[in-house]
Amino acid sequence: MNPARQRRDRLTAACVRVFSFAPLITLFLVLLFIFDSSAGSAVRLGDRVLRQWSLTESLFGAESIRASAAAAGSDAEIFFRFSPSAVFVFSKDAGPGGSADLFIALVGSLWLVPFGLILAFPSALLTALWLDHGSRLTVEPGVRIKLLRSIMNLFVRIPLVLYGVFFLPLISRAWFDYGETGFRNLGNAILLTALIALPRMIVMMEREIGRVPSDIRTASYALGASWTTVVFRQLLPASISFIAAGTLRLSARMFGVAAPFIVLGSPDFLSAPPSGPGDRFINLPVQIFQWASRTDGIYRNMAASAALILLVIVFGIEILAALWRSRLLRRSQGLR
Amino acid sequence: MSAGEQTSGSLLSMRNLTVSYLGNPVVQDVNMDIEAREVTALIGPTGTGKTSLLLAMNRMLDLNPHAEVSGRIILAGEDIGDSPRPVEDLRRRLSYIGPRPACFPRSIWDNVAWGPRVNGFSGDLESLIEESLRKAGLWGEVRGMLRRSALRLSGGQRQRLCLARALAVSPDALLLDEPTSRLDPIAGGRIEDVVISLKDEIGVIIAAHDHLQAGRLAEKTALFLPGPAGCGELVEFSRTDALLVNPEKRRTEDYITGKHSQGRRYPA
Repeated sequence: MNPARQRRDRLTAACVRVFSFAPLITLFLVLLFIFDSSAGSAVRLGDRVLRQWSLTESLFGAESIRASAAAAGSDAEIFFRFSPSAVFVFSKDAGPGGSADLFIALVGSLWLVPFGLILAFPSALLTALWLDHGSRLTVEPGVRIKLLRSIMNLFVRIPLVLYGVFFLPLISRAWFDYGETGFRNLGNAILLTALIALPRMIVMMEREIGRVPSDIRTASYALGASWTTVVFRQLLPASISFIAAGTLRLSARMFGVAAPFIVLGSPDFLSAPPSGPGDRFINLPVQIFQWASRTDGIYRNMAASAALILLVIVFGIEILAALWRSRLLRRSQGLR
Repeated sequence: MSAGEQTSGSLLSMRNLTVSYLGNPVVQDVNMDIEAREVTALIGPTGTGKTSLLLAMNRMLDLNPHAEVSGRIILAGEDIGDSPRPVEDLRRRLSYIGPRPACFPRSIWDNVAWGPRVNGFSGDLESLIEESLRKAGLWGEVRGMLRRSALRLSGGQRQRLCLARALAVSPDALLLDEPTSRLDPIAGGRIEDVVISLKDEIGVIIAAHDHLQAGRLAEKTALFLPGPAGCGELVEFSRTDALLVNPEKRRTEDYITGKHSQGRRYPA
């Protein structure tokens, strides 16, 4: 081969190798940045935290931190803070703004995501079964199936904030209109979560049900099975674990949704976690948004810490779902 | 035609049967009488409607809204198009097995038990499974591993498991769609042994490209070739030895001797 061409190929391969790590490097830098804000030093006087510094500021600006502590008085003390800790999440008096805010936001997320997914699950499953049935029987899917698929794909692709914008009038008129909170309550937020999850769930479920080979369906019909029998004794047993893994993965995505809930009217601050569908709500991403919007550095550090917690939750669920799915795949291929 | 026009002793009769997809016929005007307790082979090149014919026989084509079947299929004196019986019962009686071994992703035992359970079998399931596996010539190979996944079996064993699964629902006939096309000659030979052993008990209708396989297995053979309109047509249907050795029609002879493909011939 031409030596110049060989050199060019080697260079291209090296570039591909380097740039293939770009997403990982970016992620690492983001995590580093968030961690830098989450940890560091702080000066407190009694229970009150007067000022916080990031990790980098603490490492390179020790003098100014000591000076600030000295200026605050003889009782002021410098301490190392690591915000994404159990104290930060659960304690009600661990910082300005009240770290209980984070606990309330976590409770809000735990209300929204599971209940929203549970609400969307039955209709998503029925639609996916119908889509699968209709498309499997024919070489070319019918108009209704094509139309529904197009709508689903459209809803999957539109920006999430539009769900809030478009469904606000619908939700405000139809459901859960309580006196005090109006329509800006947890019930409607759960409904909105279900609406956001529904098209994603249908697409995921149809894909997972579609993994069951046509031969198995044909063989089942040939043994005298009806469609219902094929659904309940072949399709669902073979795909329900994959659907569960997919739903878990979807829940990770839903944990990170903020925009539609801001449009719906999530408040800046809540003093107590919601206890029912009529209560006001706030979830973790909205709380992070609220803290990050403030000018006070302490709140921005708290936002970074909460973002780190959110990342851990989302990545944890994603990794769990991926491992589960890979295990199921191996089992379905007869490798286990 | 009334159902009474079926030849006595026939398991299945087809009268003026045409199968179309989206209005385009793939096989047309088929008239055949298939005997019970014998092997009937449908041979011919790809695209002449053998599979469509098999799927029409037990109304599997009902599952495809783009498919249309005209003409009549009479099973044991009853027109299957007008039958008050549920279509699932017909499919159980004429059990179809495709070219790819479609094992369910569960144990060998569960694979064979699936059909009887679905059809409400209430007898001794263990005995039925053993009997079905014996008939399919698989019992000796799997008797100690019935609870293992069927996906661990070889291709030939899987196809025989599919045979056992079909036999477990006590069909009147098996519709085999090129059952050995994806198997090596030895595994294919075992399937052929099973088919030969079954012919005293039930009817077998087997679609195949290979007329030699028809010669080994079938009492009667039907040859389908592309007609003038491009869709398949029944050229000749007679006893296999007569069809292969002394065919009535020139087109049959050309197909069997390899002269059918637009004058192309292989060197001697």
